[in-house]
Amino acid sequence: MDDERIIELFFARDERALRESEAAYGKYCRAIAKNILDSDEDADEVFNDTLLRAWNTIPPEEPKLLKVYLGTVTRNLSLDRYRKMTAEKRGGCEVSLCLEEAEEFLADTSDEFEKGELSRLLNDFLRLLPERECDIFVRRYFYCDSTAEIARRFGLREANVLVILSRTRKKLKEALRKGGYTL
Amino acid sequence: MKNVFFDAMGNIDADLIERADRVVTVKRRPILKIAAIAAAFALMITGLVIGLPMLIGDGNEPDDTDENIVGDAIVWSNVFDLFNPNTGSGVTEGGMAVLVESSFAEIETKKYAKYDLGNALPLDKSGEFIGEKLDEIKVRTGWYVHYNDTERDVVTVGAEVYEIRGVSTDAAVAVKYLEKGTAKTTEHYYAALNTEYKFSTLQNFFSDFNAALHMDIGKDALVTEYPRFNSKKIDKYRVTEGGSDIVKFLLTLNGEAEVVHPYDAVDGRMNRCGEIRRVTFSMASAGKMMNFLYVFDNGYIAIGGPICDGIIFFNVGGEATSELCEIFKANTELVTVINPDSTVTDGLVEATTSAPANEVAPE
Repeated sequence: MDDERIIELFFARDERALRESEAAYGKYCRAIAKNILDSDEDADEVFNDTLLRAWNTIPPEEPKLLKVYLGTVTRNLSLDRYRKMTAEKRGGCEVSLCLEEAEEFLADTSDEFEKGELSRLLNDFLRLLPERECDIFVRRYFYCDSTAEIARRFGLREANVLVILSRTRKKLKEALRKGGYTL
Repeated sequence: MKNVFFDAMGNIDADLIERADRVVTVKRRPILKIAAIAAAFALMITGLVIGLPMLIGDGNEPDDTDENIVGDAIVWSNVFDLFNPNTGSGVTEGGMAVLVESSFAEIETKKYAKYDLGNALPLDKSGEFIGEKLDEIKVRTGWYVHYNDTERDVVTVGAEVYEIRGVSTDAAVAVKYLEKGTAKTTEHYYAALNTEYKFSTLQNFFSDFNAALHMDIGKDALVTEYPRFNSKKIDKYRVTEGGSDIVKFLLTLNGEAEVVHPYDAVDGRMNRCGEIRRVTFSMASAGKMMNFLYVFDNGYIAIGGPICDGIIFFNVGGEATSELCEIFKANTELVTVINPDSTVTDGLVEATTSAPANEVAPE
């Protein structure tokens, strides 16, 4: 079933919308959640929360890319759960490595951004990158893929992926510095 | 800050998120010799996956059209196709693709060491493109083997440097191999672009590359339009009859170059405008690689891609860019729209159609 039809079901408050969303994007969303939470049970719970969130927000929301909409909600909910788990000293996997990488290259960067400012800056930055570099960066820091998985996806050696990510992080750091965001 | 960064990554543009999730397919080059197939099977038996090297023809006849001759050859090997080498089916969607080897060619002669070898210039236009011989150089060529980070078959070969007619030698020259090495042909001239060359004005860029003769925005070239660069609303157009009107007007413009590298551009320059269009163009004198032309409606245009280092902005004036935007509208047709209902208010995108902003889950 295509996205337009699924959205129509949401608008009609027909619960088939949830079954169709699961059929179409359940695997995709669970993969995102599993990358962050490293647990099938937690990933299932987060996906259920995602469907509930979608049910409560569509309408009035009318996503044109339902896959990305559900994936982003899943990611956000997963990160929230991860942060709680980490606070309780439980869980964590690939995302903890991602966070360590982020902590390292952002160590001297201010976190004082106006609402949406950093996202706008990231969008500008990502669009100027060569397509593959951008995709690799998004796979790492949006999808929280492991570097091994990224290497398989793009037909690269893992060492190549690490180099590409390292260079891109340096470019981003420089962009933040030039934007005046360093401490 | 790391959490702020991760949250912000959750709000990047939807098309970037979707594109990163697409299946990566890889073009597979045909197997050219039986000996290579036999070698591949022999090594498969030992449990190794190897690349089938791009084979160099025995004669001087290129075995590809001019358009397909690239400076670097890349060899892909599909692990499924290794078991069925004669199917010729190409890469199976979703199948594994392994980058095994890629050729490299580096000019060793100091005077041209900063020139990057690119694509071949059209052979049938050699008489028209190629000027006097300038120099003789040495080029180090070989194969980089990715899976074990080594090089193989490295040789230093002789080559000649030629002027490309009407093109500044400070911007680009043509290189003709005297011995093959990893080159596919000793007949073709390869464009070599000076990675350190800076253009002071837009007219310098046009004249240095003889853009009047070589710049092309072809029919069906894709134009991407953003109401604002970071907007979720994206319109895609195709050039209808060919971009000659666009190029013709472009060649009349001038402005000082403000050379930036990709990360410098996020200092807000791209945000100080209403509309942005991006179109691909080729420059035959640079070996027909695809480059990008950006047109902003605030008086700036920019050029990016293999033809220059980083992105170069030129301030040509608001009237000029407004007129250029009108010429784009007259010479393109809409193909598709992504997120048509998305609006921009005070720099924030209203989430009418996109994923919601990050929210903290209720306790």
